[in-house]
Amino acid sequence: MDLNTVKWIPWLPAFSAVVCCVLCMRPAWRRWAAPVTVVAILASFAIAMLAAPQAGNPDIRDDYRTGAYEQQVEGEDGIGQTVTAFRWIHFRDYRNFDSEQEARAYAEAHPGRGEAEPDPQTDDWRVLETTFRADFAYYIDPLTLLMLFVVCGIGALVAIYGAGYMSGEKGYARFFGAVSLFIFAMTTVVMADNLVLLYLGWEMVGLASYLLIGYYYHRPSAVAAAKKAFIVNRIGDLGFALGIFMTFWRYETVIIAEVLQMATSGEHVTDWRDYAIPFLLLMGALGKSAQIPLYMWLPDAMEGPTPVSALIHAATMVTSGVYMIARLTPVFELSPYALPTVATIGGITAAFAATIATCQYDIKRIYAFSTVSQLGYMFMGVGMGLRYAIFGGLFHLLTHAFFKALLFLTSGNVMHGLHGQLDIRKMSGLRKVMPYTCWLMFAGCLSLAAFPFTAAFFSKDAILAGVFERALGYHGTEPSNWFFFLGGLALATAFLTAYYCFRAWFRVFMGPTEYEMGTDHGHDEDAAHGGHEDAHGDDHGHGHGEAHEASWLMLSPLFILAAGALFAGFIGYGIVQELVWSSTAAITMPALVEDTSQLHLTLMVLSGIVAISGISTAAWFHWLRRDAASRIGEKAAPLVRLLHNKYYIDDLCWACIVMPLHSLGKLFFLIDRLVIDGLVALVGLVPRLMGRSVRPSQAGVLQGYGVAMLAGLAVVVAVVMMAVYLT
Amino acid sequence: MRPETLIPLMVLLPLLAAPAIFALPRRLSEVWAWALFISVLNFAVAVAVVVFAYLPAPGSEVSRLSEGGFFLTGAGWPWLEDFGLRISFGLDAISLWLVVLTALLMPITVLASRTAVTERYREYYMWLLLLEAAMIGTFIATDVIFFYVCFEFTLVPMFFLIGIFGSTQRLKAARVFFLYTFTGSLLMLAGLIYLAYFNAAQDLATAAQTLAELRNIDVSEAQAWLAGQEQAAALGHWTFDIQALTFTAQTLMSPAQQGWLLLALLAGFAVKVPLFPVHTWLPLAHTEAPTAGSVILAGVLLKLGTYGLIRFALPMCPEAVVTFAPYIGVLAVIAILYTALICWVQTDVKRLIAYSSVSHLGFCVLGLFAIDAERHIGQSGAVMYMINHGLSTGALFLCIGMIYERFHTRELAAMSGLGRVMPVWAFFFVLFCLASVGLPGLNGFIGEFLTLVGAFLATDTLGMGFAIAAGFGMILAAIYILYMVGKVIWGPTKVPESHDHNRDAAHAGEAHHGPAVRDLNRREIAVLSPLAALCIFIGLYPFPMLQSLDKPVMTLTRPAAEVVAERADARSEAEREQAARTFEAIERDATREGRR
Repeated sequence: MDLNTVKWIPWLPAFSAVVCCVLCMRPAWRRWAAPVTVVAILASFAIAMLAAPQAGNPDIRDDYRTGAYEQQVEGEDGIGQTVTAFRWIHFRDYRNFDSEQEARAYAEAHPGRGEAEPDPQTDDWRVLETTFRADFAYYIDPLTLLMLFVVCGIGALVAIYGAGYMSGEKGYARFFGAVSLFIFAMTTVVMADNLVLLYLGWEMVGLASYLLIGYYYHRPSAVAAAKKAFIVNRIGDLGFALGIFMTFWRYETVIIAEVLQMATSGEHVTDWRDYAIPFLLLMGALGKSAQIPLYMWLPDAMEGPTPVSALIHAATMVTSGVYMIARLTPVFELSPYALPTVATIGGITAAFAATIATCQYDIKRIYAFSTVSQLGYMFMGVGMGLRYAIFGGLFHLLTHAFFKALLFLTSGNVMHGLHGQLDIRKMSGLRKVMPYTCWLMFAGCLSLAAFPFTAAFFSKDAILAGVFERALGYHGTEPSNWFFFLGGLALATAFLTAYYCFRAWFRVFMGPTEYEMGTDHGHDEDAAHGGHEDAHGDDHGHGHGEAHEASWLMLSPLFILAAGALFAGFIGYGIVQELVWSSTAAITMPALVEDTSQLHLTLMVLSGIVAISGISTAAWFHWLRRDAASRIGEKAAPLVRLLHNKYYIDDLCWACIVMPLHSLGKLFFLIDRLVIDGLVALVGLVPRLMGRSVRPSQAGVLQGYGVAMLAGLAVVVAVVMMAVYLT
Repeated sequence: MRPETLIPLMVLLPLLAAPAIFALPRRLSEVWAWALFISVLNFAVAVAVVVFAYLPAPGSEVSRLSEGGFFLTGAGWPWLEDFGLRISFGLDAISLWLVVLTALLMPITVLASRTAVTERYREYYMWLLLLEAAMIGTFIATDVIFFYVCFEFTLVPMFFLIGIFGSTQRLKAARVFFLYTFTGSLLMLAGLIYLAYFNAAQDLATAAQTLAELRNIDVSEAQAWLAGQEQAAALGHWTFDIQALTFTAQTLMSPAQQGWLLLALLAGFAVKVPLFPVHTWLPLAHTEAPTAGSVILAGVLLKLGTYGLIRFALPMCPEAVVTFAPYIGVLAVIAILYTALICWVQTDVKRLIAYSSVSHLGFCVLGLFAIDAERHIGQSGAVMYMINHGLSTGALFLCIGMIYERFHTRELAAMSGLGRVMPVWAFFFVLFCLASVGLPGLNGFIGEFLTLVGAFLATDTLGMGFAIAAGFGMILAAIYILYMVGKVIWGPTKVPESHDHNRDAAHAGEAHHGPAVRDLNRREIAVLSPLAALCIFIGLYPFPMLQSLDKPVMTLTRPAAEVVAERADARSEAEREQAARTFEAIERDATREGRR
């Protein structure tokens, strides 16, 4: 397939979004939204897998992979290739020359930049050239390919699941429209050739997330969560935008390949802007990937339909921050503190979110905090600046997409079967009711807990290995106590991870079979009622049905995900390593000089032990001896409350930032009103001073002002005349 | 027919049709149909002008638009020839797109007013058409007095539109609006007349003298340079030609004179924009005006201010502009943040959008004064902002008008969850809200992004701090717009009580049992969909528009950019000297040490 077809990858879902919009109009058309979306995403996936691998120069791939590649020569094919769809934002400015010859020579040397022409006001010559260029252009390299696999692949599976999960909903077409829009935006993020287009995708995924979190818009909590997600993301986006401005200021271009080439060039002299750019861009990544301090929106985002939580808030959108840092690693490397900051934030977030996850009762919230925590791992991986670590970070992105999507979708099955029940205190022993879901979720939990030889075991191990390589000073780095601490923190987090995910699983599926149905009415009944959602989840008499297993339409994608969650480690390890190391992400990283297989082996054993002990702890407290767990919970009640309330940070933000700003707004409004009222009073004086009283009837007043206006104009004309005659 | 005649036609058509519409037809439907016909016809003329703009002029190979300066100029008609007064007109890309915006918004507002105005409709449509004539006249004027007359004449129809057809506080609003803007523009007129007088008082000899003093060059050199300049021919005569006066002001006025001129111009234009702290007329006028009035106010009238700034202030007083730029930048940033916070506490939807206009125009002014020696991103961005704000905010006012027609209230507290009962309306409203917060992919982003880039890069006048501070406006915009969307579109469905058919449906969740609230009809969809299509189109493909803006914007900003470059040179020169002195001193000390 021709490489040029890759420009259709984002636009097919975009067209499907438009089609879904049209399908919204007639209730009879709505059911076509799912097939349209699934076909569009699958087509994008097919193009991505067939056309995108042809990009770039395969001869230099080996050099890239081993770190032997020095510097891209101008004009030479790099590891990636750009495909332009259409032009977007261009700016042209004149470049001045002292003589005609110089100008002509320049114009000839740079064809397509305009012709030499004389400056009418001075003797100079000048050439009109494009100085700012941001197009709808797509950059395809191995890293993009990896991301496209995740985005389109998981996207298609989730869309298929959603076709079953959302059936009977009134907003069926609206849901798929937003999902299509999301895939458009997300593919744009991973394919963007310039930072402005990346920013477009970046904000558009925020929009899709806003629309989907607020999908059940009759619920005030969903509306608030959607708003919060968008605004918190915007805070990060501001930093990202400023980072783009600063990049343009520094490099005179926003095209990623050109920026990377300049950043890796040996002639590049760093100045303070190089130190600032990564931190500004990092702000964007922190917002989108829900890291401290901008993580608050993600747990609330679980208000959206579960397929959305799986696709957007677990597998893809939240990883765009990780992707962006990986893509721009050479820019981050210019600042000595940037990548360590990334790693530190990641490590702390991972541990922080994992502690909160241990004391949540809502399954989706547990997984949400788990996502924040796992994203922290990925940040640690890409922030290490070492080959194994960045490979681990991006490999973890892939495996996480599988197992977290699986976990969310299986919890969606539970929710679907129990009419919206998500509280793990209100369900138990569901393995008999929904056996497939039970064992599918078990597979996901095993992988999340990094049980030996599951997918996440390999990816997490690669990250840990990277961290300890850095801590012990392999591959020409300085040994560092701080990274040793981060590595220890990561191991502790791994224990907590195994504990909290199996806590949920044992609570839900093991033990005596008891459950309480939720208050949401089931979708099937809803369809029978003519397909409306109700404004509030009150009891319509169908809240007491029997729990049931999900349909096959919903189960089949889960098997693929489960296969990925269990076996992607064996299959993907070599492929992803090849992809990551032969992309721009790893060019600036030191080549592998020492043999660290001993360290890797040690860490594998260690993390295996950690995972198994975490699982055993969970099994003991939440399956075998639940009474012991509740006793401990009572004794440590304040701690549990602190963790359950997320360290009260949300409330703190509300009281310290939101409320004061709102009050300030009120104050300003008051001032504005006072000014205007004062002015009105002043204006009221004018007619009186002119000896005219305001007439009682409205028309009279207007006429009066009309006359005054004409008089005023006459005075002005008279003044003009006088000025003219006097001179 | 020569294409030049199309331009005055765009003014004459509504101008002549207005009294006819007032006098001839009787019934509402006839009046409305005629007004719609005239405005659509005028839009067709505007489209024809765009076509001509993209065609090459006779004897040339490139399109008129790509040549950059005024094109399709006509000498017009002599007016008071003795005083150099002519009605002359012309277009460049900046005015072209603004004229198209005006000509597009007019049929849309007429279409939207079909059911909103049922009394005194003949006057209403007359004033609307007169307003169109005045606005287009302002944009096509190449003569200062013609510009001023049109600029000022926009007040009259708007005054009556607000005063007669507005809501409860309309008289107060009309009064404040009129006196505020009228006072400002009188000062502006004084400045322009002073400039014309200054021009007439010069002759070539004195001009050369002045120039020599200003530039620090020989008189003979100055004379030779002046002789080579086309526009210098107008020196010593009474003329009100914009280009001639611009030339005089930028070359012959001292920085102090330019400063006074800039202040006079600002008095007129800043009130119109409106810039903090003279913005207080706007929320009142917008809120009280009828829907059509708000649309035109936000869509076009505010742009008269920014258009005036870029057409007059920037090229005429470059020295003063560069000196004042940081202060105006501060005002713009205050406008952005201050009004954004005010928006957040509004309870009236229309007033919220009105205040948001002040915040948005703050970005526009920030871009205009982001003067950089090499780039013109800020100014081009500001022009894009003018057009895009006209589209998206105009559309938001139309949406609110549709709600007001149904429920007779604009209180946020009175309505909620309208997305369920009016999905089509909700779709459009959300789209325009997103365009308004500057979501990339929609039109608002282009202007916002470029003005911020411009401010960020213009290190000699504004710089990073301004862009960061204004950037917080982006966050606040998201906060207040989503606050509004969350209240109006989402949430449990609550239809305002005052809706006559649906009294019992006011309870949450039962709206679908009672008689349904009417969603948009075909006419209303026809009102909103062209704007929606343009919002998406410009967001994805602003390329042709941006390309056409490059040259005219560069022409207008070049003097100021040169001033920035000169000052930067002077500064680096001074720094070099300073460094050299320091180095010498160190060396001297070292030798003294060595001798010892």
